[in-house]
Amino acid sequence: MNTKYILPLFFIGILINHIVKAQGNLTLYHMQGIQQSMYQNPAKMPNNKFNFNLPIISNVAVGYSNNGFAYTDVVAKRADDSLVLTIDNMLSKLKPNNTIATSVNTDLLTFGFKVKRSYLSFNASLKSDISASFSKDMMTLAMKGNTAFLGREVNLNFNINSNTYMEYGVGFAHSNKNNTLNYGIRFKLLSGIANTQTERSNISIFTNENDYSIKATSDIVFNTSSIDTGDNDIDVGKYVFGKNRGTAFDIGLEFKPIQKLTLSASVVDIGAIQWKEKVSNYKNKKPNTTFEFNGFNAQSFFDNNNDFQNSLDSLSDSLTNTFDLVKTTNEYKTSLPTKIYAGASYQLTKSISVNALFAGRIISNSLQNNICMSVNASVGRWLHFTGSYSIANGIGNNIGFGMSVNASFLQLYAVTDNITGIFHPEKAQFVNVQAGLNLRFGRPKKPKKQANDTKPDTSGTIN
Amino acid sequence: MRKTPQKLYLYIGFLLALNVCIIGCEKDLFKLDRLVDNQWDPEFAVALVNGSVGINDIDLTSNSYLQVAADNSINLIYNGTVNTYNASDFIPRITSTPLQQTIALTPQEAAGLALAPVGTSFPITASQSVDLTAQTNIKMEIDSITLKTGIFNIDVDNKFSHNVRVVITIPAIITNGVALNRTISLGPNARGTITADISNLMINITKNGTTTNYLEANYNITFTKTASPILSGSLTITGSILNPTLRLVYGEAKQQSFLNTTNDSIPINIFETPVSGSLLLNDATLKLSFANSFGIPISVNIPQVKGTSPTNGTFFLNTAGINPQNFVIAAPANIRQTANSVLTLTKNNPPTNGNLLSLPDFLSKLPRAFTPQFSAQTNPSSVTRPAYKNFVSDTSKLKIAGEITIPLEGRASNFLIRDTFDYDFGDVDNVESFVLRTWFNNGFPVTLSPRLTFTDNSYNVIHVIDGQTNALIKSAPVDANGKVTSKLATQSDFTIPSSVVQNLNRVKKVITTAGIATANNGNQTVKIFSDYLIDVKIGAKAKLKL
Repeated sequence: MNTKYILPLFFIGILINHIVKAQGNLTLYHMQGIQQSMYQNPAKMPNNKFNFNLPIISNVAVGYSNNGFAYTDVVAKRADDSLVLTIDNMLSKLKPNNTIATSVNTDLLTFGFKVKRSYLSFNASLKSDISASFSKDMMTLAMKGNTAFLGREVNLNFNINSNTYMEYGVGFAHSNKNNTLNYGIRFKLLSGIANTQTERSNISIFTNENDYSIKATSDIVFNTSSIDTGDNDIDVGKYVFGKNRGTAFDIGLEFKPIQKLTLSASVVDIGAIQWKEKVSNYKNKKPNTTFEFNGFNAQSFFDNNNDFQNSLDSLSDSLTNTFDLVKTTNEYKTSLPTKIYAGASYQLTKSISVNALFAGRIISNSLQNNICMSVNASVGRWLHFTGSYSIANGIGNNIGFGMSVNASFLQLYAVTDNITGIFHPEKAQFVNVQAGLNLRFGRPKKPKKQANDTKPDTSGTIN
Repeated sequence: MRKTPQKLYLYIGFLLALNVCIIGCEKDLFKLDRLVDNQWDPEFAVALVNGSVGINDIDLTSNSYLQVAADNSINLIYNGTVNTYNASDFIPRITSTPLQQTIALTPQEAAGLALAPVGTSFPITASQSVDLTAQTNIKMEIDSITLKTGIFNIDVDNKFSHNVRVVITIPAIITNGVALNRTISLGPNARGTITADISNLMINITKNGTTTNYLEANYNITFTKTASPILSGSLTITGSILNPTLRLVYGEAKQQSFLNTTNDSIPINIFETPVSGSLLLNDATLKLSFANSFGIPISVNIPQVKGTSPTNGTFFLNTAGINPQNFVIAAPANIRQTANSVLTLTKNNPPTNGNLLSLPDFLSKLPRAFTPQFSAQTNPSSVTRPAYKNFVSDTSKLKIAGEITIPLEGRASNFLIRDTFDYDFGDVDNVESFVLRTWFNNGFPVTLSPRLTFTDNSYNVIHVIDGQTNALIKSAPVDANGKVTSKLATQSDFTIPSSVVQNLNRVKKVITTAGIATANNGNQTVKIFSDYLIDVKIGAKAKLKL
């Protein structure tokens, strides 16, 4: 194989190896010439007449975020090179509620083509994300024990949600005659592969500060699909379009009120999946039943005939009564985490533009806010750079970087919202990378230099 | 396209530089094999024991129980059988071969047989009267014996050279209205056996009321002469009773001494562990119960009641001061009946006499067990003899039981219980420190001050949990009558610090001492009632290192 292809693959492999997880890429939204930005705003359309992307190679996006702590908050190196856990430090970094999330997305087949002022596209993508939310109290209980909560109730509420599905999308984007307005929409059919949904998770523990008696209640409801099957063999082919079906759509527009200013907005992943296959629902047999342990009965210690095993069995029964889960197999529905983007881009010079982006993600009826400021710079038509600063998931100080290299019909691109997280993963709380190799055909010819040296109007197109 | 190679070189260079950076960013921080162990140190608190305990919740040993009086006061009672004398120990044992006689012809009989023609008969008679007195283990004058089972086996050995026919009659055994008799015929120099089932038959051994202990047998022997000229010979008759078991013996037991065997001890478990201190139990009683189903009145004397204690050695009750000295045990009027007699010793009976103690003084020495001894005499002179004679049946027995009743009333001061037992904490490597919290709401008029001393095999002290300096359980306040007026709560924390925890794996023994004092430092007599309760809560905090 030609070195020209080996190196990009190697590059992608290294990235994936080092940064396992990524979340929605903010820097990508305003990067010029990367057609994957269509997934964030369907109004964006490539400048090429025809685009065809290779399975997996053309788009891999991985992400990881932990808004609670970084690796260095937990592990520290001592002078003798040994490592120590800095649990107190880690706990001090935690917020009342924390989330650890990972995601992996890739395209299995993508193509699109231009028809006059419109662009039609198709994508088959595999998307997967996992998130776990936990309270500081829960982590404190695990790390410091229940003596940290003597005399007060500790809530161990946690959520584990995961979603893996195939997305089959058909996109349509159109530009008006004077290229001042683009709008687009993408319809998506979804085929769920596996899911975990924490519908309700309320666990509380109270330890009496005087006699250390313990009270606990539990009210848990969670659903899974293709997780608790007892079947180790997962037939991926069966999920190409299985019984877990759903629909979604994306809408977006770009508007150019003045020549150098572009405003854009989009809403993506409005939809849901109905999980029907290999479904398990779990909930407490007796929700909110109070488990109370005051110690073993004092009388039993004076009874020579008492079998201590009986006391243990009684305790076990009481625990089971409170925490035992019953399983059903009722279908359930999960909504996609809808994202909202609103951006503005200002062309400072022919090759430099500055951009601002607000990106929101709706999770459990709450909006997770992200902000990104970026600068794009181009070296001719073959090399583009982007630098960004973003605040994502409440985590600031993220310096992002993106680049794309165009060589003939090949386009290699890579973008991250936190470049330092790649080189210093031990300090990163938020890392994502999206990279790939696009095949682009029918690239427009380089415009001849005009007398007034005015930049051609490329609004609404991805060069 | 001419510039493509330059672009390619540029971005290849960039990628290589980036790869170097990425590969170079591997940090020692991720080499988790360098992670120091045991840094996770959560501390968990959990309740261990909870509840209310009363005196009735205590599971006593099998030889003791609590007796609740009408006023809810409590007696602690220890009992046990001191000794049992069965019929088999008392009634006469009939020898297995009571009859044996060898019969030879007198000169006159020999002459008569010589003159008799061949084929004719020549009769002679013989008898035997056996005194069974020497065959009984007591000198009892027996009128009759009824066997539950027995086969009278009679063996006849004819050493004559002539045929013989023997009719054996036992007048003492009447069956179907006539004396038991059996006939056997034997040829010359022959031997034979005949049997008689004498189960459930009464054997009257009074020789028609003229004496006792005598068994008679009559033999009618008829020779039928053969051609043999030999007239000498003998006839041996042996009577034995196979597998005899007695049902009933009537007779006169006379005055005989017995009960010289070693008796069992009755343990008093509350004094089982080594104890010291002062304890006053004024109203304790010792009851000695005699259940007699022998048809024989018995007089009992108690020469000794011995107590043993690890701290006070051996000591004795003043048995010489027991009133009465010779306690008569009545006899039942009929077989299968039992006559019960009870001798009760109290704080005044007997009194203390020097080193020989009264019952309260005896108990104040905290006997781990007491062992009474008895001597006995049958048919004491002081007892008017009944119209019937003595009897002993197969079910007759004399059962002697002791029961010591300790009312939970008294006072104790500096009363110390001490015990040592083996103990191993097991694996405590993951424990950093430990705190034991106790909370007692005491409704008893008793202060308990325990101390646990953890030692190695050589009794080197490793740690002490001290519940004595500050009493773990303090006595509830009492009124002038020693009755509890309200409960008293005491909370204590016992910390085993990390410096001690790391040595706990050397612990092999635990020495427990518990000081017990009644209310007002043991100066007040108190009484324990069945409705007294102590509320208990015990919890623990353990800091782990994982």
